[in-house]
Amino acid sequence: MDFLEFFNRCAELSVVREDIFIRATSMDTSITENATGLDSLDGVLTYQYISEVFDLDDEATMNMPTTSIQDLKDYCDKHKNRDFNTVEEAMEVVG
Amino acid sequence: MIYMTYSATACTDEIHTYEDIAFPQRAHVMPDTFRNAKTGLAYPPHNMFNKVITAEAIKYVTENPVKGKTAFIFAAGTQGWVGTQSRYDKNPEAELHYKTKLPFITLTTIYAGRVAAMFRVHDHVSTDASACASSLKVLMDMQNLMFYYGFDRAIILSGENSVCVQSLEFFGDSKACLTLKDEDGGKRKPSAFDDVNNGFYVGQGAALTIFEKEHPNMRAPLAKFMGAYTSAEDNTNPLGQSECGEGYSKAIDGALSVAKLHKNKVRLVKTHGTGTLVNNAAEKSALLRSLNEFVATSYKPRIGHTLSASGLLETGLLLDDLKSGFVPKICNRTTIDDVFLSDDVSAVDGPFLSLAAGMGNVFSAALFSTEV
Repeated sequence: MDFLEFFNRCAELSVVREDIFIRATSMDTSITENATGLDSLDGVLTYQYISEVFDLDDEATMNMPTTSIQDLKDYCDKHKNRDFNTVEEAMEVVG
Repeated sequence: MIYMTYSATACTDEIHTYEDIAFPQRAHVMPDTFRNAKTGLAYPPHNMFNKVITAEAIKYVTENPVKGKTAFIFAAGTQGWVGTQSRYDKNPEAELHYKTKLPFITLTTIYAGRVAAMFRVHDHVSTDASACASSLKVLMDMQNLMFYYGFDRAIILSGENSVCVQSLEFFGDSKACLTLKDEDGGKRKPSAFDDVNNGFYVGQGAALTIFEKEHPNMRAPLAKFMGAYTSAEDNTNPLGQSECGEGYSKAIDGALSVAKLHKNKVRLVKTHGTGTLVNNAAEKSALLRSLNEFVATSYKPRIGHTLSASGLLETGLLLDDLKSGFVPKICNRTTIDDVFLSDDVSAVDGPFLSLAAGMGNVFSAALFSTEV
């Protein structure tokens, strides 16, 4: 699954101000308000969507990293309880 | 002068039956709004409100700024939409049983703040918890903001999570809505002001309505807003109403006074019209006392009781019907009635009255005119 696209899709689902949202173009993007335009509530919702897709347990959800999208992907790969082949399939869970 | 310039509504006459709850009953629902509700993330109101928070409305507001201030008011009916109460939380497998993963997203203030941001509103954001009167009650607030505080535009979103286990059980338990048991095998149907059929189904619904003072880029008005008033009455039971209709009368008289309008001028009423025996008595008494010649309709027998949304949602439906040239009948009336309409009649021009009542002793009246 294209994790970068998946992250952007979850963020789009969460964000209130589409005009402020910045689509991430690199896996090195840090998940901060400056880099993504997601405010703290948008960010929490984005992470909850991602957690739901990978069926992370509560403790794993609480500790999801914000350092970069790559770090988030690695973390999800380590803690996931399910996976999807395509972004479309993944978004079916939360869309 | 204040005009209603935008009205988007979401509701349905589609009915679903819920038998897996303590008080089995039917409800008007839009199934797509419950998509992924069980995950606790795609929360039903969120999906439902997306039907009325349109790109067109956001574009209109953001691209046509007004000189004065803009308010965003969320007529939410309550402060938090859904919770779990042990009295009702008996069947976790029930179709409509869901728990949210992020409790704060059920707080109406949080949702109001987010939607206000979509409209770039930063002058005033508020929420209202006046139950089923909420969307008409906030018109008194809107009127005050416009008259006294330098506001030129108010965006009003109304609606709540009406169809969930907790809500259906609450209405069933309090004998407010029509349960399957009450229907008695189809002998009784939802209606209002009728001797045989009475009561309502709960219904999903939302409305987005924009009110504005006249400005150069204003859309063609849908109606002129004339005045609104909200009253209480002398009644100790906040779940009930006084059958004499004191609360409704005070609200109607208050609205007429604000609008500086004689009661003879009002010939059309969109009633609250839940069809409960006590509301039938209260609202009818008040209308016969406070107005002279009029015709009255109710939308709830057709779309269900959409709770906080009902006042403005039904006003929007009435404006649509008037534009189509008629005032709709009250569904399932069993006797011929040319006041509390048993048949459609031709559109009535001029001022009309919208009424709503909510738990907590809240009675609201608003006057509009189609002559703009």
